[in-house]
Amino acid sequence: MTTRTTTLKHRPWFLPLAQLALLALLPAATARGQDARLQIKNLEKLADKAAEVVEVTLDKPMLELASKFLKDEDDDAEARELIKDMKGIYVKSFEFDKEGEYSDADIEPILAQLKGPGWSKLVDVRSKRDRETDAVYIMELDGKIVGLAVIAAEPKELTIVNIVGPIDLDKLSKLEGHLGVPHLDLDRKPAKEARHDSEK
Amino acid sequence: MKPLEDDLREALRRKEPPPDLAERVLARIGHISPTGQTGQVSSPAASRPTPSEAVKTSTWSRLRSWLWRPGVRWALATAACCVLIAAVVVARQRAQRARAEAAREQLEVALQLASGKLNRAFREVRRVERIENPAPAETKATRRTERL
Repeated sequence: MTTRTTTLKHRPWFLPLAQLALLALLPAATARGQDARLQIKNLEKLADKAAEVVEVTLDKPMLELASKFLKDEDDDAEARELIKDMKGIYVKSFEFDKEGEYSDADIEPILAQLKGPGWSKLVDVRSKRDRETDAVYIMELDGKIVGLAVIAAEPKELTIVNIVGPIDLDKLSKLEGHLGVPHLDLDRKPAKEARHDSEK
Repeated sequence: MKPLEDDLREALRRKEPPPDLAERVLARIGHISPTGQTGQVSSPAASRPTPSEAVKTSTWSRLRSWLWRPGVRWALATAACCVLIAAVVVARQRAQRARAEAAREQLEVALQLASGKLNRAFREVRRVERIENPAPAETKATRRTERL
């Protein structure tokens, strides 16, 4: 008790101010926690094993720069409209020559972030037969999507897409096969395999 | 002898030039020999420029003296600065354009990948739902995707 009294007596004068400052900073820290940007740097080690790597890092200034070179017609106009309010697009895609080059442990840190506040799972399709996982996570704020994360894991391919900022999923899904880039044929599964082989 | 002939002979008689004639001439055209202090003049063949050399030297020296005039110097310096600034601006514009084009390509790839993977996930959901529930029963996932 004596000790406690002594401690209080010698309490530094600036301590209340520091506590106030801490309280003031708390909302900012919470807001920062709501940022839809995922840390996917842990995947960089997979680049050495991958046969093909696609890495896209476009932050707000780069998006603005890119939008200046989008034309005012058709797909470019749609893309410009889509990225208008975006804060960033981050993509990492690895294609491997053989299976087993990456493990669940590589994806786990990303999934852990997606379990955090703000994120909710929109789609999670896991196919045991094809050993494929397709997951779509969104972050909503006031009823609007402010973040998107797509994880597509196949035996020889792993793709992580992270979009930060307001996004229209409908417009985004319509862009496939446009923008001067050929259709990526991501749905490569033959029709005969389109049986009941998946389980959520 | 006629007086006219005498006059002519007198007029055309050889006369020795004054002793300092050569020195005065050379001094006038700025080519006095280093030994001029002693009153000796270098040999005319060695130091005297040919007429064409004299014209060239004269032009160059005039140009040089014109270039070194303060106004001309400032004008040249300003022009050089303008050229340098223009070169830097053009180089920066080119670099920015290259960056923008690279960013545009990246954007296209990113949007294609995002769109493709998103559609694939939705297609998988719809496919599984069709197989599991032939009746048009909506699951939470489809309801949500449609809502969005």
